[in-house]
Amino acid sequence: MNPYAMFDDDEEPDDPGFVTDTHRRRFVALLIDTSQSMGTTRADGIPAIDALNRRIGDWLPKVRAEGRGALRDVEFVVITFGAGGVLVASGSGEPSAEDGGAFVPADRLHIGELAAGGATPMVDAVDLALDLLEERRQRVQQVHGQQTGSPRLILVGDGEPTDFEGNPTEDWRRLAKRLERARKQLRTRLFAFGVPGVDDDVMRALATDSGYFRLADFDLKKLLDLVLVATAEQTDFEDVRKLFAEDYEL
Amino acid sequence: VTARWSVLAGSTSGAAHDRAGVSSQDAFAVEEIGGTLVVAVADGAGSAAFAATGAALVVSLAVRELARLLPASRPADQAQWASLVRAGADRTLYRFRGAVAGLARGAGLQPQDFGTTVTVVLARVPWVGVFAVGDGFVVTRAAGAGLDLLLAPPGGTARAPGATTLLPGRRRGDRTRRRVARLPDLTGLAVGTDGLETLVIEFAAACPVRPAAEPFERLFAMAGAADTDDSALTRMLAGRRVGELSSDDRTLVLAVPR
Repeated sequence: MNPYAMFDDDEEPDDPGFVTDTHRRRFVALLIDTSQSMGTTRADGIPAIDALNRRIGDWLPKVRAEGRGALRDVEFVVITFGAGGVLVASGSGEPSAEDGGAFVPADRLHIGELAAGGATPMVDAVDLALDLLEERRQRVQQVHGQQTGSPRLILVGDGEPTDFEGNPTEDWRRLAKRLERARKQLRTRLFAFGVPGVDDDVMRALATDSGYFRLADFDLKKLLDLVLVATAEQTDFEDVRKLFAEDYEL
Repeated sequence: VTARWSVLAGSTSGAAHDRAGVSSQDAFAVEEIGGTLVVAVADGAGSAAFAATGAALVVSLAVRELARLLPASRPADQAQWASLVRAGADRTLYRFRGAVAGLARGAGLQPQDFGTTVTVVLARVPWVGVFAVGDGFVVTRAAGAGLDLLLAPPGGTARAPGATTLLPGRRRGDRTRRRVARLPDLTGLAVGTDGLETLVIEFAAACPVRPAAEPFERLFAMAGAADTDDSALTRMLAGRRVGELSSDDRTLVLAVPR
């Protein structure tokens, strides 16, 4: 007898009537670098931004599928920084924590075509994400009477932070202190993924050594798989580190 | 099956750990000792490098320590059961702290690298005693009284993920939760880890209020049926439907008096 036969997909056991409507809403901000370098760097033989768009197209169905299961309590907000400055790329496209605003449930997540250009206003993007996460948390608790889990930020960057004109900025030092307070007070978690060209020191200052993952190459498929792993409630920094330890510089 | 109980146990790793290439960090042990059923369930901390070792160690130590205590203890009232539960908790946690301190020293680790929760149930009808550190849960079923949450998940769904109390604590006491109940008509016991709590417990305003009737009716029926395959519960916990609802490790032990 095949010892694994009992786990065959064709032999799915009956559902005994498990409870399915318990909610602890969780909010995940995905921040994507769309600065000029994403248009000039190449990945998969094409500009990195085109490769990213292609990979996001393959990735979103997985997110939406998990949004009907393990990620059913997750709302995403997607923020880009680069072309056009700091933009909300999810939901209504407006920087609003209201219902029907920037946040969308995982099973309805769509991200439009991203364009590369401009500076790297990473600090402003993270500040906006923190503001929106807190506003959304309060709204869900106070208006909808639902409890919320700890907020999570997933930051993907390939350069050093600048202001909107492209001038280097030290404002990330202030942001690092804000993130530290958020970690202590709200159990906020920041997973930061640096792709080639990124300023390691800044990313470490923002995410701490535990939360920073330096990718050795522009393997965007693996990057997005990593983002999905980092979204799960039970996943912690060490889980992500174990999974990708052989592939990335850590 | 023990002399007095039909027991059905299941345990499986969650998708979050599967994706991260980590095996299950839950562990459980069941034994009937001199007429008292002992069930120990542990959930190794995802943040601890050797959590699975810690979980396996604490359930085996709990059974061992209670095997030493129980023959000399014939508790007959609430106070004596409370005393037994306290002694069982103290000895188990003391042994665990000592064991992981030794392991950590030998391997250049910290005791917290073996971090785990633990939930231990002692049952000899009409008495049920519980001690626990962390976020396990215990459900009882009694004829007439129905289902009850003898040990509820602390903090409900408002609890931040991973924010539970862990062994080994930094000092004695370890914030142990203890319960003793007299249930003359006990017809079922369930002990589980937090990966299942939202599937089998009903919450209101994020607080656990009662065990869900429908799944427990089916689960206890499975445990009590003579023809239930030993793997039935693990198959259910590893099934697609449960995997869709929980990405955490999942362990459940069901016991029904024979």
